[in-house]
Amino acid sequence: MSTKGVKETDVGPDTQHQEDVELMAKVAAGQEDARRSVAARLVGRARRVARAFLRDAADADDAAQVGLIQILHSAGTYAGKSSLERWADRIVVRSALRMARQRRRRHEVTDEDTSVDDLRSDESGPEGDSTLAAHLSQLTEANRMAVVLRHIMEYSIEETAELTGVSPNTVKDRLLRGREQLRKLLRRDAVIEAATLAKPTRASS
Amino acid sequence: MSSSACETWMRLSDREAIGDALSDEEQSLLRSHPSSCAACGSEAAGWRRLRRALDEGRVDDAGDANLMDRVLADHVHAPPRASAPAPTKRPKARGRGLSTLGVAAAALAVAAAAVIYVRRGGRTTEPKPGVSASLMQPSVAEVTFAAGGVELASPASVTSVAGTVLSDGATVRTTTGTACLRIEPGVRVCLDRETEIVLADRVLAHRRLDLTRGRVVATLDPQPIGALFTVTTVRDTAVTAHGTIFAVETHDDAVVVRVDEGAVDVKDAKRTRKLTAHESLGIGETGSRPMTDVEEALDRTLARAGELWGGGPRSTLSIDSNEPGTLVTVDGLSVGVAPVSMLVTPGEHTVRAGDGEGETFQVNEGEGWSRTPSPPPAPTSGHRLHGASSRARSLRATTDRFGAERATAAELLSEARDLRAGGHSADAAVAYRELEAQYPGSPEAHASFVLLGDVELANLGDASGALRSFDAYLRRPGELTQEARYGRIRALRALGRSTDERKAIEDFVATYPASVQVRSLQSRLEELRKP
Repeated sequence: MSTKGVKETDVGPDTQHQEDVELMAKVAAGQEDARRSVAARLVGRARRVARAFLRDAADADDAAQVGLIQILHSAGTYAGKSSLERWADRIVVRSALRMARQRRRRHEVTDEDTSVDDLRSDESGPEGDSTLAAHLSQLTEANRMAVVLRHIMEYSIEETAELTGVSPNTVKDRLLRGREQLRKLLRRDAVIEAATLAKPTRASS
Repeated sequence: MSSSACETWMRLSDREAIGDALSDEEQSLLRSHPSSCAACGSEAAGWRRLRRALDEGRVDDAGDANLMDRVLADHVHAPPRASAPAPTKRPKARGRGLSTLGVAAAALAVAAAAVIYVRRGGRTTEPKPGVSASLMQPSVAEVTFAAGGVELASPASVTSVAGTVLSDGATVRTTTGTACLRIEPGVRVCLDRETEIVLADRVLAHRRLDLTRGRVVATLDPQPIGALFTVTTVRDTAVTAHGTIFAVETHDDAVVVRVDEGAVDVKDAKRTRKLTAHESLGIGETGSRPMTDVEEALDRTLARAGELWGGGPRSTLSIDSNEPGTLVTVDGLSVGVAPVSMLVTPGEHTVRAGDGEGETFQVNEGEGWSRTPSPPPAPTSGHRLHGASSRARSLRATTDRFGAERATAAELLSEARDLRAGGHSADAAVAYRELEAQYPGSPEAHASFVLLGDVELANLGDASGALRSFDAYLRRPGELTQEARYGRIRALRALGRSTDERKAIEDFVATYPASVQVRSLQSRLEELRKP
C-alpha cells in the first residue's frame, strides 16, 4: 500500500493542499459559498464510500449525511496533511462503520453468524463496477469491511484495526479470508470470460 | 504458467495486502507474474479495479443534490466548532431567544436537537432546477396572525404585530395566545400557547425554525424542488417529514410528530420510520399510533388561523378589548382572545368581540381597520348556563348563533382552552362541561374530562371535582390515560388520601416506568412509605 494508507496526522503539511486548507478555513468561518463548495465536492464521494460499507442505500446516505455534516463542523481542524478527500473519507468511513454497527445490533446479527445470502444486495458496493459490487456483497460483513478498508479505502492494517475496533491480527485474518473469497470470484470471472471469448460467433451478413 | 508460480504470486499478493515487507526479488515477481499468467492477471486487474472504485463510481446526481440539501440545512444548526461533534448528536438548542427574552423556559430539558425536514413530495411545481441561485435567496417571513399573549424579540405590541417582517434569529413566543407566521413560498406555521420558536434560517434551500418548546402546526403549499423547510426540536433525534400538514410538539424532553396529510419519514439516531397521514409518533417510542380525533381536530383548529390570509393583497385588522380575555370572532370564526392582530384579504369583514354585536365593515388593500370595543353590560335575562359568566355565555351564544352551523366539538374545545388561557378558569370549567353536555361521547368531550380535571385541580382548588373528572375519563381509558392517572394522583394528594395516593403511584410507576413523572413520584412514594 502506498502513503495513502497512512494516517493524515502522520504526514507533514503539504503545500499542494494549501488551497483546500484555506477553503476549509472559510467553511469554519461560516462562509456560505465555501460551505456549499465543499459539500458539492464531497457529497458524491461520501455516498460512494458509505455504500461500500452499508448494504442499504438509505442507510448509506444517512451515514454519508452524518459524515458530511461532521466534515463541515470540523472544517477548522483540516490541516492539509493529506488531500481533502482523504481527510473526509476517514470521517465518512467512521460514520458508515458506526451505522453498520447500529444496524447489526438492531438485527441482533453478529459478524460470525451473518450468512452470505443475508449480505447479498443490489445496492451494495461501489456502484461504478456492478460485478465487483456483487462480488463484495457475497463476503461476510467482517471480511468485507476489511477488504473495503484495505483495498478500496487503502488504509493501513493499523488504521483498519483502529477503525473497526479489532486487533491488527484479526484484521489480517479477515482480510486474508475476504481476499480468498474474492479471489475465487475474480478467477471464476476470468474463466467465464475466456470461455465466452472462445465461443465461435456467428458471422454477420 | 506453472501452478506453483501462481501459488507464489498469490501468497506474495496476500502478504503485501496484510502489510508484510517484501524483498526486492519478491516485489519483482509480484509485478511481473500477472503479465504472463491470464488467471493471475485477471485477479490483479480485479484488485486494481477495487482501488479505482471510489474515483470511478457514481451513484446518482439527484441523490447527490438531495443529500447536499439535507447536509447544508442540517449543518447550519450549529456554529462552527473547533472539534468534531458526535455525528448523530445535534447541538443543544440555542439560547439566544431565551436569554434575550428572559423566558422561563430554562427548566426545559433540552438534551439535543431533533430535526424535522419537511419537503413536499410528488407535488412539485417546477422542473428540477438543481440548487440554483434562486434557492439561495432568503425568503420573506412575517407574522400573519397573533391573538392573546404573544411576544416578539423585536419590540412590537401585539395589536400591531401582524405584518411584522421577521429576520433570521427572530424569536416569537406565545404565552397565553397563539400566533401564525408565513414563510414564502407557501409555508404557514401556527404556534400554540406557551410555544417558542426561533426563525433560524430563511434561505429557501434550507428554511428552518427552531422549536424551543410547545406545539406548532405547519401547512405547506406545493414547494419548488430544492426548497426545504426544517423544524428543529429538542431531542437527540432527527426526523424527516414529507407532508403537507404536520404538527410537532415538544414538552420537557418529549417530542411528538403528527401527520395530518401526506407521509413522514421519522429519523432518529437509530432508525428511519415512515409515518403516513393520521399517524402520531413519539420520539423514543417503538411504534406509531393512530392520531386521535382530538389531536387531529386540535391541530387543524390551530392551523386554521394560518389560513385567514392566503397571501396576495392584504389589509390589517386590529381588535382589542377593554376586558381581558375577550373572545374575538372574525367572519364567524373564533380566532382567539383579544388583543388580535391579523392580515386579511381586502374586502368586507365582520368582527365581533365578546358579547358585543358583530360589526361589518369594508377594508381596502393596504389599509388597516382597528377597534377597541367596549363590551356591553351583561344581559339580565335569557338562558344562563349553570355557573356561567358572560364569557361562558358567549361561548353558548356563539354556538346558538351559528344555528345549523353551530360550533363543532373541536371549536368548543378550542374556545374552552382559550378561556382558560385568558385566565378565566371558572368559565373554562363551565365550557368544558358544556362541551361534555353538547357532544356526549365525542372524543373532544372525552378528552375534556382530563382538561377539566386539570383546571379544577390547578386553578380552582377543587380537588374533589378534579378527582371525579379524572375518574370519569378513566372509566373509558384513551390516549390521555397517563395524564388522567397522573392527575388523579395529584388530586388524591391534595385531598390527603395518602393510602389511595400511594396505591395510585405504585400502579402508575409500574405501568409507565419510563415516564418523566416517575422520578418525582418515586420520591413521593418514599415519603408516603415512611412510618
